Amino acid sequence: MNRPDEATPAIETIGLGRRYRWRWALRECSLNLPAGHVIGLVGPNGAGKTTLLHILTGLLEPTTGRARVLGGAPRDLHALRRIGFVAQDKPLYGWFTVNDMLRMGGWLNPSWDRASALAHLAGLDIPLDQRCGSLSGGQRAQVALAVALGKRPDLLLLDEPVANLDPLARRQFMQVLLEHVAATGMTVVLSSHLLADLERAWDYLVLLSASRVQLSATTEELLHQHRVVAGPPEKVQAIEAAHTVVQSSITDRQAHLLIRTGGLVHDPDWTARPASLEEIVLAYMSQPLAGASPALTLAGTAAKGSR
Amino acid sequence: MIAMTWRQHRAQLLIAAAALLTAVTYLLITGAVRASYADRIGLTACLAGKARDCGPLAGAWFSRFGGIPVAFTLLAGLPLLAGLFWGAPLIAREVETGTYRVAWTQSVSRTHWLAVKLSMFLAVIVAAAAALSLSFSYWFHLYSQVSNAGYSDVARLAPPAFDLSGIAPLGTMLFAFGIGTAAGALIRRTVPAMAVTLGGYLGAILPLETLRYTILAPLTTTGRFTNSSFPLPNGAYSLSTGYATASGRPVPFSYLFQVCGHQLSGNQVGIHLSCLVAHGFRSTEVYQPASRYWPLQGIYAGSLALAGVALIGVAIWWTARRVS
Repeated sequence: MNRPDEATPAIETIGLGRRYRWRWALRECSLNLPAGHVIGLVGPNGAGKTTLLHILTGLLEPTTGRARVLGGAPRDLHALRRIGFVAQDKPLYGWFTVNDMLRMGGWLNPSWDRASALAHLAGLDIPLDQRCGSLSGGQRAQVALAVALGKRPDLLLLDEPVANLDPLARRQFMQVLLEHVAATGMTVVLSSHLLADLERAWDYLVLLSASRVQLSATTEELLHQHRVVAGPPEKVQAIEAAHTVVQSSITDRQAHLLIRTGGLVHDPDWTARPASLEEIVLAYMSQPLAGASPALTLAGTAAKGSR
Repeated sequence: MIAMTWRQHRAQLLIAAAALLTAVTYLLITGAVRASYADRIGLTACLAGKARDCGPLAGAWFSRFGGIPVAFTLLAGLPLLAGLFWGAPLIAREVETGTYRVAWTQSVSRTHWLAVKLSMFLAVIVAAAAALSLSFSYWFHLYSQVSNAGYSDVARLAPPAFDLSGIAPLGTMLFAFGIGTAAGALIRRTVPAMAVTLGGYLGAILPLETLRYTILAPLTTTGRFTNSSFPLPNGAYSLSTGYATASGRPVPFSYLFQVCGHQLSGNQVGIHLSCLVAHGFRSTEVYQPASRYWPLQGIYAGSLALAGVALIGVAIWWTARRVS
C-alpha cells in the first residue's frame, strides 16, 4: 500500500456548505486536516458532522465550496479506494451472514485483506455464519469496522462509532481501533456528539457547532493557546483588547474568563491557569456564535503551524 | 460486483425462476395434451391438408378444451411483478435501510454498481419474457391455426393471447421494471414506490389494451349473413360489430332477436341463421386483420420497451447525481 504523502493533507475543504431545502446543514467549512492523526470531530447533534462525512465520502454533493480527500475529489475512485467508512448506525445487509459481509468486501475492493478482517472478528468471538440482522449493537459495530479495515484504508472515517454502545463494547471498539492505527499509521476521523465518548483517543480536534467550524487544532495547540484567568471585573476590557475571550462569567467581585491568549497575561491582578480540554471544548460549544469567526482564523493558523 | 449482485438478489431471482418454471411447465404439458388430441382426431392432418372442411373436427376439439381460460389474464399480469419486486426495491431498499452508505463507499462507483445490477435484471427479463412468450405460443399454436383457418375467433391478435405472445411480454416487463426502478430512485422508499409502480403500470396498460388496436386504422367490412359464416376475415380480431337491415338501416343486436329469435330450453334464446339470411340482414365488422399482428406487436411492445428504457435512464441519472 502506498502511504499518503505527509505533505498532502488527509482532508482539505474550502468554503464547503450543504443546504437542505430550508436549512444549512453545513456552512463555510474550511478545513486542512493533516495526515497521520486521530482526529476527533465533535459537535452537538445537528451540527453538520454527518453531512461533512457524507460529502467527504462522495455520498453527498456539496451545495457550495469543494472538498479534497487524500488529494483527490471524493467521488474519484482513486480516493474512494483508500477511504474506509463506517456510517452512523453501522448499516449492514441484515440478511447477509457476517461471512457474506466479508465476502462483499472482497468483491467490491481490489485491496481487500480477508485475513486481517477474519483475525479481527476471531479475536472478538463473532460467529461468521450469523446473520447480521441478529447481531448485538457491539457486534454490529465490530463487523462494520472489520469491513472498513479489511479495505486497508489510508483514511478511516467513523460516524458516531460508539454511540448506542454499552461502556464495555465502547472500550473494546476503541481498543481494537487504536491497535490498528498504531500498526498502520492511518489517519482516522472519529465523530461524536460527546467529547467523552472519544476517550481521548484523538490528538487533533475539529469542533463543529451550529453548522460551522469552531475549532480545528492539535491537542498541544489547544492546551498551549487557552488559559482560564480570574481577576477584577473592571479590567475585563483590558484583557479583551489583548486576547480573545471565548467564555466569560462575571460577578460584582470577580471575572472568570476562558481566553485564547495573544501572549502572556502580565497584569498581576489576574491569575492564570491552563485550561483543560473539556473546559475549552465546552466553552466553544456553549457559545458557538461568540467563538465563530476567530475560530476560523485559528483553524487557518493551526493548519499552517501543525506541520 | 456480479457476485455481490447475485448474493443480494438471489432469493428474488430464485422465487421468480420457480414461478416462471411452474407456468412454463403448465403451458408445455397442457399444450402437449391439446396437440396430441388434435393428432388423434385428425384435426392436425386436416388443417395441414386444407382440402376438407375441418369445421366438425375443430368443433369437437373446441368442445373438449374450450377457449383460453380466464386465469390466463393473470399470466398477462406477470410483467407487473418485475416492476413491483425487482424494480421498486432496487434503489429504494438500499436508501431506506441505509445500506447505500456501505454499498457506495467501497471501491466501486455507484454508476458501475447500478450498471451491473441493471444489466443482470435486464438479462433475466429478456430470458423470462422469451420463456413465457415461447411456451405460450406452443400452447396456443392450434388455436392460432384453427382461427386462421376460419373456424374460431380465438385469434392471437385478441387479448390475452396478444399480451402473452410475440414481443409483448418483453415490452410490458421492461416497462414495468422501468417504472419500478425510476419510482424507487425518486421516492427512495420501497412500499410507496411499489404503490406508484402498480398505479402507473395499470394506469398506462389498461387504456392501451384498447388503444393499441386503433394505432393502425382498423378495417371495416360489411356483408349479408350467409349460411356458412359471418363476414369476418380469418384470424381477424373484431373490435366492434354493427347490424343493419336489408335496406341499410342500422339496428341493434336485440332487433335480430325480435325478428328471428326463438325460445331454447329454459330462458335461453337462440337465433335462426337461416332466418337472418332470408331477411337479408347485414353485419358490419370493424376489425384488425391477422396480417397486422406483427406491426401491432412492434408498435405496442416497442413503445413500451422504449418507455421502460427511458425510465431506467432517469433512474440512473437521478441516482448518479441526486440521490442522498
